[in-house]
Amino acid sequence: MSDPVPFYMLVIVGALMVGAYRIVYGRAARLVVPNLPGPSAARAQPRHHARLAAALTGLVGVGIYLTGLSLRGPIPSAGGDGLWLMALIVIPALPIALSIANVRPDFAARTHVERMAETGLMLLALVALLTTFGIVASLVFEATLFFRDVSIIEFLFGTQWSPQTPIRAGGTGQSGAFGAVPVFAGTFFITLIAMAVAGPVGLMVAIYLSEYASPRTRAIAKPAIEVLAGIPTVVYGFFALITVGPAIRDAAAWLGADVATQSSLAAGLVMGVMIIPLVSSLSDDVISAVPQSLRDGSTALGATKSETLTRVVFRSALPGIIGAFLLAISRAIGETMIVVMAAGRAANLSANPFDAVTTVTVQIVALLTGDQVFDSPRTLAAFALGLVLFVITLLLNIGALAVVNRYRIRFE
Amino acid sequence: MKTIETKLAPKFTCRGVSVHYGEFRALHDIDIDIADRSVTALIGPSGCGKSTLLRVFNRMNETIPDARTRGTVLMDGTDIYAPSIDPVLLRTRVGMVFQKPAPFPRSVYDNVAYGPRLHGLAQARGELKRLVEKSLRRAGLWEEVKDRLSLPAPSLSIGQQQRLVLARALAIDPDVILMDEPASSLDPIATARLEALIEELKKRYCIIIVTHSMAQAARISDKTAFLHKGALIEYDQTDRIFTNPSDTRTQDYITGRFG
Amino acid sequence: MSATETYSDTPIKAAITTAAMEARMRKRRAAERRFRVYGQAAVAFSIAALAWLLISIVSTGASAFTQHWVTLDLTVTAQTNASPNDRRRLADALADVFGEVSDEASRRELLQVISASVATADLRAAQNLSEPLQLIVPASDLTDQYLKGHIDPNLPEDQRKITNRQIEWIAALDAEGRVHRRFNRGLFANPDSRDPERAGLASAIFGSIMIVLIASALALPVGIGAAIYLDSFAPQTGWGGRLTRMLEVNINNLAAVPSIVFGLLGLAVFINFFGLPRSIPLVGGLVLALRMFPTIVIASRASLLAVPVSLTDSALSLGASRMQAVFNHRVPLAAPGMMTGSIIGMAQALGETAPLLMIGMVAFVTTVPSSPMDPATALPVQIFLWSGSAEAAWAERASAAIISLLVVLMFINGIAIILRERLQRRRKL
Repeated sequence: MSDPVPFYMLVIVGALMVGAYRIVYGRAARLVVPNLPGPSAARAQPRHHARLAAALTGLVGVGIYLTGLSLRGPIPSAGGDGLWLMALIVIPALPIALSIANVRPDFAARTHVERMAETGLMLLALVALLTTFGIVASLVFEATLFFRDVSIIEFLFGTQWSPQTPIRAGGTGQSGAFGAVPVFAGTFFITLIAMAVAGPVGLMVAIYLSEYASPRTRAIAKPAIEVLAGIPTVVYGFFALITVGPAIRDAAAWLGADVATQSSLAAGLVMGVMIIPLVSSLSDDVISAVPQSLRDGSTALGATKSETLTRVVFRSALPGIIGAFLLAISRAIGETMIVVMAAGRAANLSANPFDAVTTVTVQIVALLTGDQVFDSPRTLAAFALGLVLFVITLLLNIGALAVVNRYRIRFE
Repeated sequence: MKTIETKLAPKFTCRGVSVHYGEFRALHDIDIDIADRSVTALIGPSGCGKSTLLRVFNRMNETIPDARTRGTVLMDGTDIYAPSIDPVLLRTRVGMVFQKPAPFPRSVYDNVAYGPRLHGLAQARGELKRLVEKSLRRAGLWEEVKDRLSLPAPSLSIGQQQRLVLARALAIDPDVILMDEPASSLDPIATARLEALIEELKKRYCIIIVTHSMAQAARISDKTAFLHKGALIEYDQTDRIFTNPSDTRTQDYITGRFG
Repeated sequence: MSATETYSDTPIKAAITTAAMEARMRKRRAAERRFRVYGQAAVAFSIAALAWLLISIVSTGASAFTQHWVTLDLTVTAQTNASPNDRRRLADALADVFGEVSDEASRRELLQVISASVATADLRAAQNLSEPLQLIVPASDLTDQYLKGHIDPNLPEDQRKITNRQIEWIAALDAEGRVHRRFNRGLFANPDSRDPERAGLASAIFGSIMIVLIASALALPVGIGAAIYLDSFAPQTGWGGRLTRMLEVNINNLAAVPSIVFGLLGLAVFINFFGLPRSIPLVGGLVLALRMFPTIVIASRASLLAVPVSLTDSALSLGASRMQAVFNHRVPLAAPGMMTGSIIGMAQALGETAPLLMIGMVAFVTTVPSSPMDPATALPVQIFLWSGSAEAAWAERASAAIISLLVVLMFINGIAIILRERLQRRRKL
């Protein structure tokens, strides 16, 4: 048995469930139900009995499968999986037998199966919690290992970032420098450029399309903006690398400046374009949530359309727009492919938009791709950066949701 | 009332006014004269076009996509639908109060100062302050809010809000005030206050009011127009409409047989 | 409103406004026009950016869908048979075609014209070398780029990658009718390769299909189930209600967590903790399932919320259990929305790159995976890998891969739109 995760066993479980359903359905269908007075458990129909049997069987089967998996581990041991397989086939006979025994007029199969289903649904909802826990636990765990080697102070406030220093070079200081300030600064700078594009453009797109554009313009422009939202980020990265970067370089050369293809400007501009649809759709939502009565009130006082928009609609929608911007910033900070492909890897502390800078996400990718020894400070540093990224985006999202919710309450 | 009417030329003269929303004909061939310094009530069942007619006078229908207005509307003898007329400026002469008071989410003061600031009506700061006070006084709200001018306007009571938006409209010094069911969201006490205020304001302004309440129309208006399915059925002195209508549909409506 | 208050009695005005207001109005109208122009500029900028992106990618990538092939007739002479290795033999055979190549450097130069690796492999596969042999092999990436007009022959020789002699040889081959341009089947049928002319997307396509299928198979039922629970069964009051709200905030936040963080999660949990191998579609699918999950919960919840409560209530009043009321009346009506949300989630998963980099799907894979446990790449990762190489041929292929990916995404989103329209129409009947 070389299969590390024997999927066929799940197929067996499925077959057992179908079997259980069939057998119990047959027996329940032949059950003579006495006509009891009043609301009665006997109203359970054959399919309820059968579903209960199938659910119990499936539960036991999957339980055995997972137990076996965790006992053995995904890399198979030499011993083979015979015992495991046997358990998987034999033990589910118990719930099937129990279900057959329960095919009685007074057994409330429907109530039982529904209670099981509800619990099952609840467990599905808890996957969200589990995921968050997984993220926090893995980031915190690995980052803690990192901070045993490198002090938090140095990481957060150091200005020297060069983790690429050879590791194998005999003994002395097995790692490079891990002062992440240049990385944070690069992230901030590119986000700033992106927001300088996406903020005003996205907002004006939302306003123009919802307030000014003719139906025909809207019919063309709206889908185009939506297409912009559907393009994978790697495509934007490619565009920045192959087209925008060289275009900026050529433009700079024409003006007499010598500029590299990779620059924070190229990455920031393209990221800005990527974020336009996010800003415009969120702004559109909050702007159209402003009641018509406010606009009418302003129009009736002799305000022009733009005066109504800037003085009444904007002001009313401001918290929502701020929320939209916060979400957009969070998206820009976490964006990976564009910066990996177009921003560069050298950790420069530079506010010149034509310089290459690096970002948190770029460094995570740089540290974790290619050959690596796990548990070296290099790879662990990626998790420390990941933790910073997670915390910052989480704060931005919470802030955005709070602002938006407060805004929603005000209008309802 | 008749004396006023004979003395002054009509404020508005409408001839053959029709309004379409897309394919739907909301108003059909309306001829009506509106007297200045008086209250004209527009009544009729829901969807009869009375609000549409009201919005003809300040060209608010143009804010609705697909709306088209035909016919002539003269205000003091000037065609307000002429190409040379900017609807924005027209609305400084024709104020409007809506069914639901919609104070802007800023302070009481800023709400009233909104229009004057837009139109540059007060250059000095003291002037604006005086204008705000004057408008609030005219709307009968000054005494209640003079100590909380910087409070957010939405925190006022509904009745106060309605008078605030009235003050907001008065602040740009219009000739005409349009009211679209101004009392429908008010309680009886606030309604009584508003009606008393209208009684006062008609000494200076031409007031056109849309109302669902026939009692209100009877109480405050000088003339009443009854509209039905986009047509003007009957237009006469209010007491005549309510005591001796000439059309059976008017009769049916005011006696509550439909509507 | 005291009686003493003065009221300027100006009831009849010839014009609507005063001259001062009219003057001010000119400025305001200009401001209005400016505002409008800003809006038009913003829309124009967005559409121009989209157009620039699409045009630049199509113009670089469209030519990669065809490829040049060269037909070679190799006759076996004493010299060729005596050659010590296949490559040498091939060079000699080629040299025979031209009859002027003698030294080692020229031979190498000559071999650069065709895909030498394919040709040697074909040669090796040929059973009988004593008979004349016809080889139809891809042109090398240099030849291909030159023939597609991507290399300017007017540049000085040292500034282009192709030499004057090579250009002559290609011209000679072409003159003999030995060069053909065909549809590039290899782009879809071949796995990755070190030679651009042989590299294809097969591994990436199969990898992507498996990843998206695994991710959807996990995320759709779990996400929709979670949404149904939150919508209809989760406690709304007391401590339970507090937990429900926490769960909802949690899901909203999860949806906005950068995707690379999910990659870190996958690396730490599936690879380091559970010891699953790197670069396999199973792990990719698991990671993207977690990534898709919140999106699907949010989309499904939104479509459930749009179903009126009165429906479930009336079912309950007829004696249905809560479960029956929800699954027979609420869920079917929300299904179109859920379906659309799910398909859009799948489209997003198909384009996701960063988390896959974290779990090692950047490996150089030259085989087509046959199971979710085999090393594979994914379409967007392949684009990333190819775009990292400097040669024009790689950029061309990466663009072609992008075009393919965008076409698939358009197709998927199109299905989502059609499905939504269909089901909505059916609901109305």
